[in-house]
Amino acid sequence: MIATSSTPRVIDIQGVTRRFGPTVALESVSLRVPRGCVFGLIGVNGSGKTTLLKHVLGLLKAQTGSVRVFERDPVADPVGVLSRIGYLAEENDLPPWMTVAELIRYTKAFYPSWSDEDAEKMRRQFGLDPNGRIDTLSKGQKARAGLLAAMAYRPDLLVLDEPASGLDPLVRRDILGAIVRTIADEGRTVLFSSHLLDELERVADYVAMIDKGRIVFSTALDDLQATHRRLTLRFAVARSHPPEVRGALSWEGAGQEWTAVCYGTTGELQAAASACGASIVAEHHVGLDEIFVARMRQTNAILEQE
Amino acid sequence: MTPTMALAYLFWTRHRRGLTLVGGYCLAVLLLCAVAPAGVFALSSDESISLFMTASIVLCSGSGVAVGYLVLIFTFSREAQLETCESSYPARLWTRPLPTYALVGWPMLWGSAALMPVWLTYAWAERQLCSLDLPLAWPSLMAAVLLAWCQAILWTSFPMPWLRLLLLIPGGTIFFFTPMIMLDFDESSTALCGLLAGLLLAAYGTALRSVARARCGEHRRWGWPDWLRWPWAARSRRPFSSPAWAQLWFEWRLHGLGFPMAMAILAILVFPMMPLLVEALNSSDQLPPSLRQEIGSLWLAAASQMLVLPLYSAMLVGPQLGKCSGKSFVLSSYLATRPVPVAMLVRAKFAMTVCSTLAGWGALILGLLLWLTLSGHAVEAAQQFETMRQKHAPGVFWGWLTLLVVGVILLTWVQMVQEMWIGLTGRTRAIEIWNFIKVGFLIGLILLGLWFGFWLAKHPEWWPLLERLPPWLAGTAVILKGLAAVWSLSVLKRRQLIPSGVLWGVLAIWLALAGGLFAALYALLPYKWFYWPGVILGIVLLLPLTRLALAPLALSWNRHR
Repeated sequence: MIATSSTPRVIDIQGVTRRFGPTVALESVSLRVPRGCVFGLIGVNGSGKTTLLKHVLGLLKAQTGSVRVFERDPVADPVGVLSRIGYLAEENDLPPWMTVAELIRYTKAFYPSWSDEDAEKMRRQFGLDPNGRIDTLSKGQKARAGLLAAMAYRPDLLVLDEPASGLDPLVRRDILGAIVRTIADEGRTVLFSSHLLDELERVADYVAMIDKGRIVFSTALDDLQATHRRLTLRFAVARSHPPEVRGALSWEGAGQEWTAVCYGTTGELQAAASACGASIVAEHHVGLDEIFVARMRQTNAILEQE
Repeated sequence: MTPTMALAYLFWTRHRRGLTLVGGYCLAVLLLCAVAPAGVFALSSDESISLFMTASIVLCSGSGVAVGYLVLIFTFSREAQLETCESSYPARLWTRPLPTYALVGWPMLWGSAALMPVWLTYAWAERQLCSLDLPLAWPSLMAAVLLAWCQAILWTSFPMPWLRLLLLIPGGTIFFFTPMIMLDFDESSTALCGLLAGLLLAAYGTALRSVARARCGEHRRWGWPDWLRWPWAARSRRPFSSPAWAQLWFEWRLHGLGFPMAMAILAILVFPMMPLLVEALNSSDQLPPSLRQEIGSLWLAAASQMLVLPLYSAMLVGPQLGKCSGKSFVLSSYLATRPVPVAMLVRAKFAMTVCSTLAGWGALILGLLLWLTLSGHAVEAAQQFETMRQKHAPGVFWGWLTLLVVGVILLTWVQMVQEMWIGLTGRTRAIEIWNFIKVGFLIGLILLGLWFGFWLAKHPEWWPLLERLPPWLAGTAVILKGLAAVWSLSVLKRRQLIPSGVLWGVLAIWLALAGGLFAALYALLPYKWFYWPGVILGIVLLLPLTRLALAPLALSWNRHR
């Protein structure tokens, strides 16, 4: 639970399961996204991030469970929900035959809140030629055109699916800038999935990790960083394999000195280290990147054991 | 595995099911030839005509479908958009470590090797089973040349959109008729084979040059001249007044021009051949002389083209209109996330088909008028028209003319929209199954009709009973159509995909249209010809309702998967 009961929720997903034939894409997923935050969704390829985002947009129907966005069902009321959402898809499927000017003109027709001033400002900032056809734009320019089309009407919820995947640092900077601009307006929310964890770490307030269709954790980023650390333990005698320490997610090392990414409070971890005959010789905060890798290793190890 | 083997493996894995089916079909036919007695379906007597025609239709349809499929896969046109400028050769293959002559040559060779046995099987089966002596050598070579030229034209980049189609249709027509004309002039089949071999080499050279240019990104584009572009661009900068107009513009840009362009191209092709058609009509024994005198050969020739071309083109274009992006039937996430109801997306598609139908007819009528003027037939046509007008009372003449014009335009529109719903589902498998059922049903219906017709001719004692059957058929059709319409409309209402007011409006328009048609036919047809069960049956089956109502349901299924 990442939001208190009094926090207004933009997205409320309860027990959603989705299967594609024999493949389980989502399994009993529950997720709540509070209003006015940047919510990052992380996970390896094929973990179910895009499937989850498509449920939020109503492009996929929940087979079990419920999806509420702005307290509405996106499948039953697509107009009510989609008029408040800006979406940038991973595959960027803007109509290839349109020019940038036509894309702006066409998209504008659907949103009364469209700002010509914002659109023109972004077009100039992104260096988009109004007469350039979408199919002749580079991947980065296409992403920028998609971002313009998703942002110029100031949506209440911005959904970005792997927006920076495969793009150069300049485009990534523009996307991050867009996220920052969105949250600068009070009450607007960003939900985005990404592999670029260092950039996600810079802007996200909340993070959820999804793996094999299940939510591994969903928490505030500050809480996540406060409860994970990298500990270096020294043992009295050399060990051939890592010890069993409660809260340890992954191990590296050999002999007497072993390093672990651990989950828990300082007191809990010190007690656990003492119990296996080790002393903590170094303690560091870890980034989202390391937490992600450690969690993935733990999940894979559990699966291998099973 | 060598790169060539890898290319062949890639091709095989992609199309193995279809190729296996084609191979299976050929084997089955050859097996039948081996097992069945020679000339079992030959045309030896009046009784054998039904068997002969059935066997010929089955063999011809099967081989035709096989040839169509092979041309489709070996030209890579399943992934192509014919009206665009770009080469249809899949760009993913350009990075393979193979020289361009191999990238071009192998698909041509494999395609020819696949097409030739289909013709040989067909010709052999016709010879063995139906005692029809068809030539073996030149038609199979012609199939290879046909494929090679299709490949060459499809793989060439053109400087402007639609140029490819402009070249493909007349090129195909000329090519198709050349051998017939040559054989008519008693040219030997050896000379013909020589000509075809030359054409095959020319196609290879053209394709090689085109793919080599496209592979290294050489592509010249012609733009519209500035004086033509400017007013268009100025108009296009104005914002849309509503989402509905924006969506109509989107659909028009995506699909709207297809039908009018097809009509314009066909007009350029067909109208110059009208004098030949007029001559053929004048010398035909099959045509009643009264009809020729009544309408006039020139108008009769024009009317036959005006009836066949739009309906046939609309039938071909129609199923493609369900596509929601350039190539795919799947609704793109960009389009699916526009904040508009499904009903508006469907309405824009229907409105586009109305505009497209009218524009297509406009192009065809303009083509006819231009041809009449330029060819010097305008006076003759005006005289024939005047003669027709004077023969009938003004009310009857103009009534029939209006009914004919409105009816044919309506029929064209029906052809465009009636299968849109299946494309709107966005399910490729469902579309393939539907097409399979449709073709099977059509062939089945033809065969059943033939069998039934011949059977009926031999059993006149059943005729009185059959004369009493149409009212029952009409009643059953009305009931079935009514039930299907009620079901689809109630689902639409239950899911709130369309407001109730709109639903009632659509129903009212349908009833008004059906009633209007019935009344017009009642007023115009002579009393002895007005057979009301037939009229009702025709109107009910002609005017689509369930198929239109299924469109929003299908698109909703596509949007919310």
